[in-house]
Amino acid sequence: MKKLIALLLVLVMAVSLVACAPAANNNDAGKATYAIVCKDASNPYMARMVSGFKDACKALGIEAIEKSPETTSADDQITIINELVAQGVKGIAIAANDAAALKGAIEAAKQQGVVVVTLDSDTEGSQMFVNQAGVKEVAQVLVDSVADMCGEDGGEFAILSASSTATNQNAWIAAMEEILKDSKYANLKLVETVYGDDESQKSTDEMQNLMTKYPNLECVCCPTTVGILAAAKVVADTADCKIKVAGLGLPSEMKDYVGDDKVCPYMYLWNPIDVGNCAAYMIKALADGKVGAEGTSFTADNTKTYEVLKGDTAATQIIVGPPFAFTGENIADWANVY
Amino acid sequence: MTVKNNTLRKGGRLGELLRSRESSLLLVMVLLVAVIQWRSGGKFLSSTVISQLTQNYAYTMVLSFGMLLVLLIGGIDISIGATLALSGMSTSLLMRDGVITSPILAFGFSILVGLVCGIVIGAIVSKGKVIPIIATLGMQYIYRGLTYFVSNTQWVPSDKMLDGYKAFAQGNLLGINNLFWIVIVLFVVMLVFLKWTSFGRQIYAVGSNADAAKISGINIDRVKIIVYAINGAIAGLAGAMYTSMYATAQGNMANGAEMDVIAACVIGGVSLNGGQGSAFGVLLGAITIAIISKSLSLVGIDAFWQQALKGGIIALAVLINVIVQRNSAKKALEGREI
Repeated sequence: MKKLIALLLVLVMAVSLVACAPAANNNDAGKATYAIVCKDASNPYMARMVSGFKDACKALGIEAIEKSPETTSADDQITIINELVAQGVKGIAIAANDAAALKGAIEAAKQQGVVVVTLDSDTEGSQMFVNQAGVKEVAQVLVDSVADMCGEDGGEFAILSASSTATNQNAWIAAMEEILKDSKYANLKLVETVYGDDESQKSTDEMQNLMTKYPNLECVCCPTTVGILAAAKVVADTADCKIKVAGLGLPSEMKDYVGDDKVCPYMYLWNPIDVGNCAAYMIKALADGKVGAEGTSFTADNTKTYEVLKGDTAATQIIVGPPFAFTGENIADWANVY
Repeated sequence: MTVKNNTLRKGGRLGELLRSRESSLLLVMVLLVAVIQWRSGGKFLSSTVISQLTQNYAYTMVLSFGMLLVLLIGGIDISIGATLALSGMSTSLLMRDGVITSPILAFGFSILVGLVCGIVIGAIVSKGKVIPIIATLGMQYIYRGLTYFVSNTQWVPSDKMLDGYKAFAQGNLLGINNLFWIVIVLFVVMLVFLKWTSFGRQIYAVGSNADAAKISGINIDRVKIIVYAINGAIAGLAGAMYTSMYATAQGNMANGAEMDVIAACVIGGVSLNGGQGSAFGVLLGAITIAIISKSLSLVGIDAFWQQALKGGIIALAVLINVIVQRNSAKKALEGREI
């Protein structure tokens, strides 16, 4: 038995040695290569980002490759970056698994003349963060959808968020409160902000309690995918409930509830294809030296003009565009995407 | 002497009832509801809120009965949240892929997955002689990891679930929600099982004094495995209840549910040392937890304080319970002139 186990172990070792051997350098000479590194290999959202990245590279006449760790591990991403640099890629777009740990590998890559940008989630050392949605842009579309769903006469609305400590949700809510001070939104009244902790049970409770506490509630805004789903389900399961649900949601999850005559007339989220697409154009723009100092703007090869903003962790950032609206017309298509 | 004993016994009937753990818990519950009713401006005691509560917390109540059995034999199972997720997720996946085509089959399969999970834990605890908290701590990660693995970290959206499955959780029978009917039926089964079956008495025997139980011919390993198996099956049942209720299967669902369930048992007078506890007490404990969780946001407590307050109320309820119990135990000893 012991011999068998030992034999097996040796076999496994031998196989894994072969598997780990560096891949052959498959660059063809004339063509530059850009690489995209995702958070992990199995995420459907990330897969859409990759497809956008590859499309853009094709349009630019650049070879595109994807290399992602099995799990969301920063260590594996460091190994991958080092491998890519050794392979001689010209640019790397990475969705970072850690805000600081990748810095060393990225600095080493930049010294080799590789352009490194971050997308989806930022990290130190990156030359540019391709931001899927600016805080202000998200807050603006959320307030506008609440205003639209409450109607011209305005009314009461509430916010059902994720946890009370979630950084991005809190930033959006603070920006929404700022926007609501505008006299344009004077007839909208934010009655309460509650937190469902991104749990179905807690979110359901919070939504039901909002309805109990505020009988005149007209709209609930949920800037979180778990919250919007729970809120929409509660409203759909309650007879004669006219409350509308607005917010950020996953199309595949929300398919049953999005539509003109449904609980949620429309909702927003970013388009991962656009994010990946934009990242490829940004690598090209950086490589071509088009990107100027903060506050200046430039036109990338996709003919869109971007403003160079101060980065939070990366050196600079640009914002891909306003969040993408999912309506009754496109929800069925997008539900198959992510 | 005889006279004294007689009067004691006469007053004893009523006194026994008043002094029992259940009645002290009932008192705590009434107090709690009174305070909530007052603080929520009379909004808590309404048919809507109560039916929401029974529907939303049915699965935690069901889990509490399983935990009762495990605690009675002096064990503990902190993997039930993960077992719930694994069984609920695998059932939903098979429903999505069209393998499971009827709601009854879905519930059956979910229970089966839970049962297998429970048997594995039972075997590790009894045959492997691993202490339960460590065994279930480990299995918790394994089951949760398996949930992510089988689902490929994706969610199962509501439009991929059977309509009958989703409708079951929203349906009523005689004005009581279907999910709460499961609680009622399971409660009656537990009551009979623990009080009037020999296996039920064996469970108490193993938890009270394992050595004595062994000498009296009880197969302790067998009792342990069966108890963990039942607990697993109940967690599987809860997995189906959860996914049909919220019409979504997410990898991280019911994360930390075991803590509320253990708290419900402790409030209900179950001893963590084993051998002490009743189905009625656990039902009351689970309802108390449900009341606390449901009402915290209804009475308008700041989100940051909700967790702390929940913990405070649980500690207070247990404290009152213990004091009342200690007094009645002392009185009982006096009655026997010990």
